[in-house]
Amino acid sequence: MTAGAPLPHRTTVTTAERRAFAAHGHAALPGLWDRALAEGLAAEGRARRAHAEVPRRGPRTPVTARRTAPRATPAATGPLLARVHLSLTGLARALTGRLLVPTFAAYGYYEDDDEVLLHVDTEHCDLTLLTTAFGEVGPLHVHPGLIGSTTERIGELAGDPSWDRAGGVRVTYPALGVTALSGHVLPHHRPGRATPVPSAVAALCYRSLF
Amino acid sequence: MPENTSQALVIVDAEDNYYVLPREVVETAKAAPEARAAIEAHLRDTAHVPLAGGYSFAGVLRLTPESEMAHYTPEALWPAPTTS
Repeated sequence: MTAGAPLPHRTTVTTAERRAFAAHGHAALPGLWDRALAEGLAAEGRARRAHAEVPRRGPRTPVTARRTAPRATPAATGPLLARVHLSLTGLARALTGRLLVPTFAAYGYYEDDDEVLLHVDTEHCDLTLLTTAFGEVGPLHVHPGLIGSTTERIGELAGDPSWDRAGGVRVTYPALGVTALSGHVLPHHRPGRATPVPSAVAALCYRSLF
Repeated sequence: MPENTSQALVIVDAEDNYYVLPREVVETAKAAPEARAAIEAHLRDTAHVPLAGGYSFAGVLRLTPESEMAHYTPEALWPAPTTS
C-alpha cells in the first residue's frame, strides 16, 4: 500500500511560518501534501485501527478523583505515516532552527468523544506535528500562560470541573498539512465533544539531538 | 552574540550567496554544555576559524544514519490520564 504512495510535496517553510512558530510556539503549515496522500493516510489510519492499543508510554496527566477521567486513547503506527514522518525531518529543522531527529509517529483514535486532557508532550516531542487522519476533531486549545507549570499543577487543572475548558488559544489543524506545536513546552488540551463517527489524529514527533 | 555589537551572522557559500542568521536564530541553536562531547564527535575536519563578534567556525557536522535515528521508536506513544 505504501511503496508507491506519494510523499509531502512541500518540505520547506515560509518566513511567516517560521516567525509564527518562534513567536507563539505553534504554527499552521497547510498544503504540505495533496489529496492522494491525505487519502492514503486516512486509509492506513482506518486499517490500523483494529491493531490500536493504549500505549504503555506517553504524557500522563495525574487527574484527581474529583473528575471522571476520559477514556485512554488507543494508538497505532503505520508504514506510510512513518515514511511521511521521516520525510518531514528537514521541514522540522527549518521551522525550529534546531537539529531535530524523528522519534515516533502514531495515529490516536477517538471513538465517541475527542477529549484530550491538558498535558505537555514528553521529551520525545520538542516539535509535534498534528493532523487529522480521518473523521473530524475539534480544535486544540494551547495555553501559553501555563508554560512552565508543574505536572501536578496541570493535573489539578485537568481534574478541576470548574476550570475553563473553553480557554486558551484555539488551533484548528489545517487542510492537507499540520499544526506544528512546541509540544514539550506548550500545554494543550481538547475540550471534547461527542463524535458521531470515529476519528483519528496523527502525531509526528521530533526531538533535538543536542 | 553581544546584542549591541551584532544583529546577525552572515555566511557565504561557494557561489557567493549570502545567508543571514539573526541573533535570535543563532541563540535558538545554542547547544547545552553537556552536549559538547557529542557535537565534537560528529564534527568532521574540526578547525576553529575566527569569524567576528567572538564567534569561530568549528566545522561541518554530518550525522550518520545511526545518529539520525538515535531516538526513533516504532512504538506508539499517546497522552493518557492517571488517577490519584
